Amino acid sequence: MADTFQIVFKKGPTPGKAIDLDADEVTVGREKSNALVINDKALSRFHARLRKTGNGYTLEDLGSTNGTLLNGNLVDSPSKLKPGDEIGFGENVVLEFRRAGFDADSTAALPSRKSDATEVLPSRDALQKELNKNAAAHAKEHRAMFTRWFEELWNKKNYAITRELVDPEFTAHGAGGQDIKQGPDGVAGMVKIWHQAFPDGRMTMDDIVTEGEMSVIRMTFTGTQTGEFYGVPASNKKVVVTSIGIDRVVGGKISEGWGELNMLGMMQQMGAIPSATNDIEVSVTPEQVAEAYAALASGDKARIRKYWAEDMVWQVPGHNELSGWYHSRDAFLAFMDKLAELSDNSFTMEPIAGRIMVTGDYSIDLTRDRGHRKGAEDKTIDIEAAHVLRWRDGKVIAGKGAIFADGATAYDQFWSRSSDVTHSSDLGE
Amino acid sequence: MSSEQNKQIMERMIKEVWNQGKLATADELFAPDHTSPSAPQLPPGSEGVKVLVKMFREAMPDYHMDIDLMVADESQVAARFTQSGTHTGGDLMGMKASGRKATWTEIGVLKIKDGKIVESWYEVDMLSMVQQLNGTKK
Repeated sequence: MADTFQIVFKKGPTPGKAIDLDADEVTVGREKSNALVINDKALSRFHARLRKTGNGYTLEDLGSTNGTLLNGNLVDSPSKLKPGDEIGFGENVVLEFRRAGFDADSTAALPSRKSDATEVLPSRDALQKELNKNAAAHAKEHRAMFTRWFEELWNKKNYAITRELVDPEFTAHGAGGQDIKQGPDGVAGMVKIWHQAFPDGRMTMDDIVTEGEMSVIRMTFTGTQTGEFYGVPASNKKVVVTSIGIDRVVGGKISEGWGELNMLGMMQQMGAIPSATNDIEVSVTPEQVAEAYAALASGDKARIRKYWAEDMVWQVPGHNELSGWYHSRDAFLAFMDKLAELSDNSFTMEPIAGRIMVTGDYSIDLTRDRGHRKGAEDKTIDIEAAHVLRWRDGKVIAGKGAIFADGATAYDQFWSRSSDVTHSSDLGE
Repeated sequence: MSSEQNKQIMERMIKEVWNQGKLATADELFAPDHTSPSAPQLPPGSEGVKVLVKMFREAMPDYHMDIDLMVADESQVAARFTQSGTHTGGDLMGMKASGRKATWTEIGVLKIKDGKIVESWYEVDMLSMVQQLNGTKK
């Protein structure tokens, strides 16, 4: 026969009273729905739980306000009980965990198991069997309740539903650092903060797991931040935020909740905190790069001076007479003039990537370069190239071009004195 | 699987893999095609959780995780955790060791099929952890 256990009040409202443990789970607290109700102000409504594990019981604190003591030490993780262990709730309640019936030393001082002083708890086993039988129906009820909850409160902004579905003594734990006040108004207040920041916000329930009075819900919120959110000014960014909540439902009302969401990821989506992949400091904007090229195309010396440093260097790729390093802005501009002259102003570099990329002190732009040689309109070039510019104090200090595959040959031939340009498509002929 | 068996899988993952650093237990607990939508960048199977366990335990040699409560049905188990650690080791999320201690909470959900974890979801109070480690929040 398996060992049986009991708990005995050593201190508390009913000293000496013994309670046999024959349920899989015994919850302790002030709230009436607990298996063991102890009316002492040091106890939380749902304070602790004894759970059958193996051939004994494990004690865990349910996030109580004052904590649970095991032999004088705070219980911070589920702890296996040994006969003789003392369980304390505040200063005035102490219970002893004992083996029932077989411990001669202790039973001598105890009222017998069947005496009037001993109370046999309503068997949670029987309750559990009933629950299992109805588990599917029960889970379905919770699912229906929470589906309605999300739709009404989060999507239809029906704050009054909190009065129907939230216990007046509701308490929240966690929730990504949000300070949620007690009761229906506390929950409504938290949701209003989200609605003010994300007026188009939508909450969807992704899944729900129900066990007894507890339900775990995974959910996703999407919305555009057009208002302030916990100190982050409106960003007009669209956010997608997943979260997980655990709610206790007693008598059709949510009485306690635990929640977690990735507030850090959300702050990153709103741009309030740089994300790990984005935290390289960038010293130039795509707009500045576009302006620098526009200045160059305009030929306006004052505009060019604004974006291109006097001591800049430039490297031209290939092995033609233009290839190599150009030291100084004047030399670079002379090179650009030479391109214009040799191509009779037909040489153009057209941006093709849709955007200019910037990272650190560098910008990268991709262009399609086309043109023909002066006096030889059939001697053409049509290649793709990349330019990498290095920036300092808003000006280009170095730049180089890169040409890919047969484009490098085409580029060399185009600027050479040879009369035509070989393209890869010509080689097979 | 019964809800009790599913809870035992959660308990083993926390106790053995996270608190004791027994990475071999992860091979027993996770299905080879396990993925986590919460961290899609991680490799599949048991390798994903190993990456995280190594990262946290190397960054915080005293890293410890407690299960505050568990809820399970026949196919999933969820738990709320409180974890703590002192950042004295390797880099953590781009932060250098500061010697500061942090305590933060998390909720995780495991989907279990044929005794193996096939999918998992996590929401972690990373903001609080980062603020404690960089000294912006006590």
